[in-house]
Amino acid sequence: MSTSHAVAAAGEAATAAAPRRRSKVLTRRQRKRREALVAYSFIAPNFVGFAVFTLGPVVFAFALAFMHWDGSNAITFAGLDNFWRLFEDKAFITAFWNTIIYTAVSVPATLVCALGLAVLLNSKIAGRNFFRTAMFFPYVASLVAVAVVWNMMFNPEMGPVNMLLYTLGLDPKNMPGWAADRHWAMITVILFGVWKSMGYYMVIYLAGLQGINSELYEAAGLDGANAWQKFVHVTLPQLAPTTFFVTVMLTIQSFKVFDQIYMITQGGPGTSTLVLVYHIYNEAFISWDLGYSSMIALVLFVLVLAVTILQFRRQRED
Amino acid sequence: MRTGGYRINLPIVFLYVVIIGITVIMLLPFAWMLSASLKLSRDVFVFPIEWIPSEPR
Repeated sequence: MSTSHAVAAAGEAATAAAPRRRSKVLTRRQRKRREALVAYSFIAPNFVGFAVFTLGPVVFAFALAFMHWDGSNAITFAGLDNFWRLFEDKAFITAFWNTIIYTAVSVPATLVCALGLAVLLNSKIAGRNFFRTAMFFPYVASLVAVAVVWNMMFNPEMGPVNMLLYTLGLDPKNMPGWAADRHWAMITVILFGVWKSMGYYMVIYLAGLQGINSELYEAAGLDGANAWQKFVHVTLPQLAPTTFFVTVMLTIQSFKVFDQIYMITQGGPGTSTLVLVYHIYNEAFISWDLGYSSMIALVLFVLVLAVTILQFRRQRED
Repeated sequence: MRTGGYRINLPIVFLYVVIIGITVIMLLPFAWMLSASLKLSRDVFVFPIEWIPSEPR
């Protein structure tokens, strides 16, 4: 809206400032071209930044997937070498499955928690805004700072969480080892992710809940539906577009998970929390094998793209 | 049910208990961080937790 106004205003200004010799009326095509030029010049500042800092590197990374490069010596063409290497790389296969597990668990968990919180905090209770803010708080907190605190709280030997479990009567031998135990590390990371991001999706769900027509609940009430039936047959179907959006966002976000794993487990113990982006980081900035890491990035891109397309397809069918 | 002029609505009480419980869990790490920031490192893991340090640093 404002852009079109600005374009029109700029067009008028240009016409007014045009010298006398151009006083003849512009043809339709000339005017169109001038308008397009003005529009492009408005887009340019943003687009140049995007092209230089996002589009360029992405295209370069795609090309690099088929090259060998250690970051300092000359780039050499590799063909499909990097691609065949994927199948022999045990760490890659582990990282692939760990990413799938992380996504398969954390997406539904965050979704259910966010929806539950939204329904709870949509009821008329005193201090509602305070509670909503409290739930949103972890999302705005710095991930690094919060992850350090989690690491200390979930310290298996002396962290307050295990101390609490100990006082509750849990046998010290069966105490969860959290980030230090290969069976618990993934759970710890997922717990952290759910705790950190559910507040954000709760806000999106709250917006969705507020958009539901209250007449639907009245009609359901007249038909004798109880609270649970209203939730299943009115709230859930009405929230379907919101759920779709949240699912897509959460899926993409969990495929890209890196920072919390870097902070909490560093992919360990062993390879129990090694995920694709962490493997990309290792290959690129620890082994300086930029070609191979670009190939893993390409795989991740295709994976995310495929899953997102699938989700959109299913949405259209419903 | 009426007690002393107030009507106690059990579902609402339950709702409050659940919401306050979740809020405490959500905010506990921040409270712990604040408390730990005022302690010497050797006192951070003392159990039971001293939420308000007797000698703030």
